[in-house]
Amino acid sequence: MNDTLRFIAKRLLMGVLVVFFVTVLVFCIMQAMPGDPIDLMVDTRVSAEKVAEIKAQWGLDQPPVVQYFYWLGNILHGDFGMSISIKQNVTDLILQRLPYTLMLTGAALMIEYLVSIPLGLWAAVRKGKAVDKTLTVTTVVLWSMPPFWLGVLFMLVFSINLKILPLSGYSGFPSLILPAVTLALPMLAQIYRLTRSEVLDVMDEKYVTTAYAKGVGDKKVLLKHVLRNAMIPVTVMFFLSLPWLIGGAVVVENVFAWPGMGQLLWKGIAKQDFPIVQGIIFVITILTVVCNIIGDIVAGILDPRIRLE
Amino acid sequence: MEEKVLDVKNLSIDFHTSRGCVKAVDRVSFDVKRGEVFALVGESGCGKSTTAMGIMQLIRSPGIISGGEVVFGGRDLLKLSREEMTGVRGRDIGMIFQNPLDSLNPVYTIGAQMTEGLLVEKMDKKQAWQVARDMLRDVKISDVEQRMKSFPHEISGGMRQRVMIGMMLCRNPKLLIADEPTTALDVTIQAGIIELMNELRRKFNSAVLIITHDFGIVADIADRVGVMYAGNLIETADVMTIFDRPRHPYTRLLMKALPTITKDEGRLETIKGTVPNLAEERPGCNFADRCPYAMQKCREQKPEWKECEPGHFCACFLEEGGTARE
Repeated sequence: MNDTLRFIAKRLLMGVLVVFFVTVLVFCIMQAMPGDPIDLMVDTRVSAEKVAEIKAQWGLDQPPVVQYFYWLGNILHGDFGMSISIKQNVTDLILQRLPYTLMLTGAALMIEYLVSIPLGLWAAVRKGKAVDKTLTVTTVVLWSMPPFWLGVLFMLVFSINLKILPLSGYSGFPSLILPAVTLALPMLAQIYRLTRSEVLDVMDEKYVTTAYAKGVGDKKVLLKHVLRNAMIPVTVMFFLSLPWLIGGAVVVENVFAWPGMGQLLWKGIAKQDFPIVQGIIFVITILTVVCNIIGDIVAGILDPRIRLE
Repeated sequence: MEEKVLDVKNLSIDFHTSRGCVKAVDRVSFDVKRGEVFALVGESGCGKSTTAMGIMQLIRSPGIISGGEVVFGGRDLLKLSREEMTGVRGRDIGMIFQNPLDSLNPVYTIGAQMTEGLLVEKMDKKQAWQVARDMLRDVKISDVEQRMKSFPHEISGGMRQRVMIGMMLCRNPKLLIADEPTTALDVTIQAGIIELMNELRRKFNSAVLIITHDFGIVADIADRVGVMYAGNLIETADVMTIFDRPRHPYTRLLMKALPTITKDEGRLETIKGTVPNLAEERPGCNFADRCPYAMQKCREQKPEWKECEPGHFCACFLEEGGTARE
C-alpha cells in the first residue's frame, strides 16, 4: 500500500511537470501564429492608437514571457482569465462545457467497449472463419472513415432523410446518439483488434491448457481464464484512450454543433484567443495525466504480478 | 491379466501445415495397467507429447486425430462428445505439464486454482478448500494456509510443479499423465518431484503415463517403457529389459549414448544423422537412414509390430530374421 501511495505521488509530480511543459508549448505555438486576437477583432477603420490602447488593456503589449507567467500565476489561483473574443470568464466557459464533452466521450467509450469486446472475443474464437474475416474487414473500413465525413453522412441519413434523430446541438438523449456513434465507430477497430489479439495470445498460454486438463468446461475456460487475462491490457487501454477521445471530440463536436469543450477550443484557436486555448489544453492535459495514473493503478489491481513502484 | 487402465490403439495424429501433412504420431499402440508407471521416451519432436495431448484430446489446430482408439474405462474417448470429454478430464485423467512456470494462471491464487476442479463436481466451497489444503500438505508444501492465498509468481518453480501435481491428484484420477514434469526444473528439485510422484502414486494408486527424454527418470520411476522415434512407437518392454537387452537399433544406440561413470571412455557416443522430415511420405522405416543395420527391405516397407519375447514388443525387420546381433 505504501508502495502504491509513493507511486501515485511520484506520478503526480511528473504530471505537474508534463502539464507545465505542455502549457509552455501551446503558448509558444499561439505566439508564433501571425497577428493577435485584437487584430482579428477590430475593424480596419479603428485607429492604431485605439488598437494599442485595447492591447495594453489586455496586457498584450507585454513581452510573451511576462504574459505567460501572468497567466500561470492566475491559474495557480484557479483563475483561467478572461476570454478575449467572448469576454467571459474562461473558468465558467470550461465548466459549462466540460460536462457535455464528458457525456459525449463517455457515451462513445461505452459504445466502443460494449460492442468491440464481444466482437473481438467472437472473432478470436472463430479465428480464420467467415465471422472473423468479415469483422476484421468491417472494422478496418470503419477505422478508415474520417469522423467529419461519417458525421455528415449520418446527419444526412438519420436526420434529413429518415428524420428520426435530431440534426445537431444538444436537446436531450436522442441528440447524443449520432455524435456518440460517430465518435465511437472509427475507434471500434482499435479495441476490437486489441481484444481479438489478446484473446488469441492468452488462448495459447499453458495455463489455459491446464484449465482444460482440470476438466473445466469450454465456456468457463473462455470467460474465467482467457477473457480475464485478455482484459488486462484492454481495460488499461480504456483509460489511456479517454484523452484521445476528447481530442477526437473536437471534430465531432463541430460537425454536430455539440456544446462541448472541443467546439470552444476550435473557436478559441480560430480567434487566437489564447486564454481559452491554454485553459482547455490545461484541462485535457490534466485529464490525460490522471487517466494514465488510473490506468496504471487498475493494471496493478487486475494483474497481481504488476507491482507499482 | 492385469487390468488395463488405458489402451491406446493405432493412434494417429496429423498436422496439416503449408508444407504438407506431418504425421506427428503414426499408429501408436500401447497400454498402461492399473497402478503402473509407463514411460514414453524419445527425443524432442518424436511425438511423445503429442501422443499425450491426443489422449487428453487437447490437440490444437492445425493438428487433428486422424485415427485409432483411446480406450479408457471401457469406452473409446475419441468417440465422446466435447462435454463428455470435459467430464473425463481432471476427474478420470489428470495431466501435468513441462513448464510449471506458465502452467498456473497468474491472476488467481493457488487456492482458487486448486479448488476449481473440485468445484466442477459441485463440491461445497468449504469442503473443496479443505481437500485442497490437505492435498498441498500431501505434496509437501509448507505453510499451507499462507500458500493457498499466494499467487503463482510468489512461489518457486519447484513449488509450482508440486501445486500442479496436487491440483491434478486432488480429484483422485485413475490416470495421471506427466508431460516432462521435471525438464524445466533444477536437477536437485527434479529428484524431489520424482520422489514425490513415486510416493503419491502408491498412496493414490493412480496409473502414471510419464513423458520424458531422460533415462535417469525412466530408471527411477517407470515400470514399463515405450520408445518413440519420428512419430512411431518402435519398442516397448519393462524397464529392466529395455536397459538390459534393447532390441531395436535405435534403442540400442540410445543406450550407448547414455553417459555412464563406469565406462571409462573419453567421448560420448552419438547417433549419426538427423531426424527425418515427417512431412515427406516415406515407404520404409523412419529410422532406416540412420540405422547401421539398415537393409534394402527397411527402405521399402514399414516393419511390423512384433512381440519378440513375452511383454517385449519391437518394430524392426531384424527381429524377423533373428539376425539382431551385433
